[in-house]
Amino acid sequence: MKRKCMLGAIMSLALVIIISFMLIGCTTATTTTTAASETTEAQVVPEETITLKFLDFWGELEDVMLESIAKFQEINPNIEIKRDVCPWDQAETVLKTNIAGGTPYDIATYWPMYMKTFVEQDAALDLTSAIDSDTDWKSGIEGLIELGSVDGKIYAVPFKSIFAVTYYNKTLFDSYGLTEPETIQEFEEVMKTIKDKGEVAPFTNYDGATCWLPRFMMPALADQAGVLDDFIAGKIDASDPKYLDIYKKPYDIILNWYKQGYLYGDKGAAGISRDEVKVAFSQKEVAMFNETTSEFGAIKESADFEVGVFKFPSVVDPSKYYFFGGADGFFVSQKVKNPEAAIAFLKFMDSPEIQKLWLDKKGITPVNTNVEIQDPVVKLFVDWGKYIKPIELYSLTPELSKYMDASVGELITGAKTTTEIANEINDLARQAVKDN
Amino acid sequence: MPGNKKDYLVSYSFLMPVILMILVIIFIPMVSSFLTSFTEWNGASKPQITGISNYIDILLKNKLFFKSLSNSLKLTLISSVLSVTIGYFLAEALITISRKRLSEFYRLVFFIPAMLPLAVVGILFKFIYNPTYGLLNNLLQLLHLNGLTHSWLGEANLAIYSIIAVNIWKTFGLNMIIFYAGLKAIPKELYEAASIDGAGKLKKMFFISIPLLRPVIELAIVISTILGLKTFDIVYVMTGGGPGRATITVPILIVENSFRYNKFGYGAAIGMVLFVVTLLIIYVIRKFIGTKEKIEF
Repeated sequence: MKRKCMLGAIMSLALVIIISFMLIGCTTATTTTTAASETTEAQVVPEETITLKFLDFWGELEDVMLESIAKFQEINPNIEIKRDVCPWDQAETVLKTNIAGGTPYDIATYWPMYMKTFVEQDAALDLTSAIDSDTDWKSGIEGLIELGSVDGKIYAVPFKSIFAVTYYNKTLFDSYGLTEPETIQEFEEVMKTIKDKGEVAPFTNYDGATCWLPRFMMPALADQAGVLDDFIAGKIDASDPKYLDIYKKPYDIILNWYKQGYLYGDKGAAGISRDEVKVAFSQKEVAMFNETTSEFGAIKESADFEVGVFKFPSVVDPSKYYFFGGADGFFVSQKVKNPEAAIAFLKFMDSPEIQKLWLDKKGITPVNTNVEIQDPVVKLFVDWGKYIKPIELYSLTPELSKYMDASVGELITGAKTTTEIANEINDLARQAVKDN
Repeated sequence: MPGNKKDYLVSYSFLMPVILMILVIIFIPMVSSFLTSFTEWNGASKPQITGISNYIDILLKNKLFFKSLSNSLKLTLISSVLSVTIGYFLAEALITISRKRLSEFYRLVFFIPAMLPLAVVGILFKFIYNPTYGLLNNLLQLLHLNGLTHSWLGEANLAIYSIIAVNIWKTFGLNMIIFYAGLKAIPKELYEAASIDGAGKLKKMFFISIPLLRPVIELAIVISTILGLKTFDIVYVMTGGGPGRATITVPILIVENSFRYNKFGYGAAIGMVLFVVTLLIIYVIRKFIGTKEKIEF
């Protein structure tokens, strides 16, 4: 019995020692890798197999992404792209968890215009010199290159042009004798007509896009007041009565739409998922909704009626539209072991060949101006690119973005009044300016 | 019984792997979180010590924290009470089934929800609750109860209760198994003696089962409370804290602050406050439900 106990004790101690060595081993391995990476950065060995960890949040476009990666690996056999997928609304959390855990992705899909958060964390590689030294690449994406710029340096490159537009059931519009609205007043008349007919709900936005409405309207109101740039920079104080409307009026308008019954879902108008909205539209339960340009192909395919698209109506002047967004793109981790390989992948994805592939297969609006476009709607999207305001109040701080994301929901559910929301957005903007 | 130093050494050496695991997996991260909570840290650069400012902000200025705490407490209280109650009555019902196979079948069926990953349950119920093509609204329409159809996750006053219902469905199976094991351990003779004395089912339940199951009830409530207070997955998958902020819970607020705003110190401080709240609630539960008497059959 005693011998058995001793044997058990010896085995337990051995286990402790093994675990301890494993823990020490982990630390040693990390150090070795760091040393090795420093050597690699100094001496680029092309024949060496390079693995790049890539986070992709365009899971729905997997086939064309895999085809692009295969094409890249065909001409770069020594570079392996190890791809992980996550939903777009979890991309930031996944990326930051990996950064905090010390295992960042080498390359990631992200919105170039929202790179500030990663730049502040020293988590993004400065791509300025790589782009400046490649005139073909730079000239091809020139129009949207500034989207990924923070403090004069480029940290992300655009890949597909993407911004919010309004899709509508054109067949229904034609049968009701309606035309595309250009102003908010016309938009309200259209919604009233549709509601009065009683066949379908006039308008909706999915839960994550309810904040798009104030984001469309606020810059227009600021522009009308002659303070657009200051407003975007968060410098316009709503406590000054002459500026309060910039923050408050969009919410008054939305609340009125809700009270008039123009919004699909009634009491649940602010809690409709993206898929629900698409299903409701394709099943002719709602006549209009906002979505990004990149969804055009899928929306058109799912509907058995003609789908139309218009610029979300202007709240002030029909000649002045404000599109937020810009592009989906890529950035490279500051800690990437092989920056040349990662940059080569970014450049390849922006090449006319790959941009054309995505346009042909998925109807994705290209960012490379050297791509020939046939589809009239995609041509329209390219034309509307001139209205894009890539920098907006919304992206001043993550706190402000999150607040605005939830703001329409708070309004519709009665948790906040329009004045409270306007004041709280103003407070967050003031705080952002103070912090900066 | 260990008598000398050598025996102690042998005993503790058996415990060493577990102690080491607990140190690495639980203790070190806890201490690390506690220390982080006194700093301002963006997850990448060097943390700056800020003292108790995170705690002051959370407790005195952050209205959203109290909203999320209120939701977490609501979810915990309702889920725990109903899940424990349903679990107990199901266990009582199962114990009376004399056919072993049938009893095993029901135990398995009721335990299945507890085995499913929370994220899967969330997605499943998102479909069931869907106002357009969801099972629930369609079922209500089929029964001509159109007035009862709702946007279950879209209406602010309903969303949290819709999530609570899912949480109860997910956890009652676990409580049922805990109570089933407890009831099985009670000697049959006690019930037989009570029957001879003329006790009915209710009297047996109130005077035999419940008093003897007090430690088991305490365990079930404590487990349900801990699970309820740290509920993240279901809420995140089903509503993401919305509509607006109607269903935000403390764990969602922690993740939001840490990973969206890069405020890891602030997120850790919220976590510490939740930890203290959890300890207080468990203390209250143990004080009022727990028993120091050793129950022997």
